[in-house]
Amino acid sequence: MNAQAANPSDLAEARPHQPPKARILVDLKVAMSSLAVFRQRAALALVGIVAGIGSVIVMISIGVIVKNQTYQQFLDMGTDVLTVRGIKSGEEPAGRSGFSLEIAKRLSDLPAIDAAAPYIRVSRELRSGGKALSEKVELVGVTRSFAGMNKLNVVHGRFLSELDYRRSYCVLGAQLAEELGGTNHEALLGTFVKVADTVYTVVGILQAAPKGQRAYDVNRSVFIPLSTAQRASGTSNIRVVLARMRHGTHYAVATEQIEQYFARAAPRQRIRVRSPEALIEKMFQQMRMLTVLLGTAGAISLLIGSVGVMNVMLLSVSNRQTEIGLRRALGALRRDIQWQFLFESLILSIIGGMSGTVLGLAASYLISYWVGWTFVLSWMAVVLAIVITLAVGMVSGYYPAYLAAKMDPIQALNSK
Amino acid sequence: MLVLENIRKNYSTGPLVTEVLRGVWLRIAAGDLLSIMGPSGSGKSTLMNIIGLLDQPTMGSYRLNGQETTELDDERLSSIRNASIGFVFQSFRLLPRLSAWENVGTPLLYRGMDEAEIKHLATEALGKVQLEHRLDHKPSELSGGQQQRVAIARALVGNPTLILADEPTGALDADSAEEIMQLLIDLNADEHITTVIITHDRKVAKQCERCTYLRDGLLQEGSPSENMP
Repeated sequence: MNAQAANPSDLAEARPHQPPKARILVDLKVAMSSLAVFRQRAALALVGIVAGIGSVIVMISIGVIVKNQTYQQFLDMGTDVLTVRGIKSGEEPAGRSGFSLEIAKRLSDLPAIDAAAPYIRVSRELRSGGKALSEKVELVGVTRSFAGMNKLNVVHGRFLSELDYRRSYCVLGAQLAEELGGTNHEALLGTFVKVADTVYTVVGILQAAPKGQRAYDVNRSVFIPLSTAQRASGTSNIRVVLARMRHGTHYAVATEQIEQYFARAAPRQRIRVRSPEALIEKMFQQMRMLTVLLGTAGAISLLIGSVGVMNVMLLSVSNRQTEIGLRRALGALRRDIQWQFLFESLILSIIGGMSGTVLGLAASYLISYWVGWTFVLSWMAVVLAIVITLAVGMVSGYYPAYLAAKMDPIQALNSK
Repeated sequence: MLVLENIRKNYSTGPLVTEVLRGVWLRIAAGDLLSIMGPSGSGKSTLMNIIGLLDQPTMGSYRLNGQETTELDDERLSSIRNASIGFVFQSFRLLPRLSAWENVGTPLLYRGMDEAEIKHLATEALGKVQLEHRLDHKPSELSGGQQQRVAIARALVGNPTLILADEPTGALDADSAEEIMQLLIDLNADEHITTVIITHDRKVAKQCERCTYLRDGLLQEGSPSENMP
């Protein structure tokens, strides 16, 4: 036998001062070998943690994905465009609600506003080549600035201009062009479509555009000059106008100017100004609340999971009393036993947390893929999972580990 | 090497105080082979726990290797156990999930040794009990006699100054019991490790060079036949 313990009293003196790191590594090694053996029990404890962490990850990830998705929709439309809508006050005679085109156009004279694009929109049946399309289309009367403000790009032909005043020209949305002309969109230029008894000549085809936050689908719309639409609908009143803010203007300033302008120009007309930025702020607020709620639900399931881990650890301590007594007799310190069981609980939680994170992210990815959202890896969810995992491991393991460490070695050794 | 002076141990249950040890005096020299006999309830286990530093006396002095142990805290006692004392239990107390060498190496783990070093020393210790060919066997794959040999190797591996064997043959058949006793005697002779055997078996006690008998909490020295009631 070599001289590892040649002078026992020296060793007895030296050992308590062994570097804590080295001792903790020993306890970690013991914990890992114990867990490797109690696989079945460990697996049972994992179920709760995997489910808890998994659901937290799914809830937070999906929350973030939906938020990004909605945010992207706003960005597609442009966050600098305000929508000014005339609302019924009950005072105006039937058919007279809204404001004049002149009032709408002069919005661009306001210091905060760069351009204004009034429009009229109605749903109508479309006929082409003697056939009606199965679904109604949107007939949208617009001015030239509408395309730029809505980020609409023309792929074939041209967009409408002021020169098309009261002309029966139209520009088709991408999907509508496909429904009418298949893949050869260009061939549609110069052909005729009939919408609500009026025949329009196709002068342009638009590129497919994201739906964004619009109430209608631009890809299934027929755009005609606003003047033509006014004549066709028999009303010159405008109910909606898009107003692009000048660069660097805050939406609250622009909104105030618009409201003041309408109070002067059309005092009897009530209006509502909708700002994408205000909506985004409101949405983020709601999402934050939703994330907290979902996180709370996940936390509850985690709590149940951690109670499961604590149960398994308590059972483990109770079943392994002889081992605890033996280790103490062979020289393990109380804190060795405490760390051993704490490590077991931590390792269990980390394995459970990692599995739950992977499963949660996979489920979030599948849900996003299935619904058609863009998957975004939520680092917040991952960091939260790590923090929760460690916290669950420590909290669930502390009490059982404390009990194990406190055990009297003689009683533990003699336990059955 | 080991000196017990007026060791007393009381247990209190409410107002009731039970005196288990009523003043034990014992001096064991390095390399001694000593047996402690006594009927059930005589305090054998309590005395063994005190000698093994698993328990502290209510009163008295216990010096091991010249160091007074009754004033030491739990950590220091654990450290001395690890460094100086090897335990052999009646029911072997091997960890069922560990192999023979891993069981033997457990005390060394708490000295912070690395695995290669532990395996080397555990193999050496298993060689001393003629089980070097059973290194990777789990306890369930070994006979009772072999399991007790592994336990003895575990007691030896840390190069202790004292081996405490509590009924080491109690769970074995006659042949294995004889074999284990002979092993303990041989190791005592070859390695000069002080060995204390707690037993109720007169035949076992007789094989030790010194015999003591514990009765009514007091220890008497003499041959088993002299002391047996």
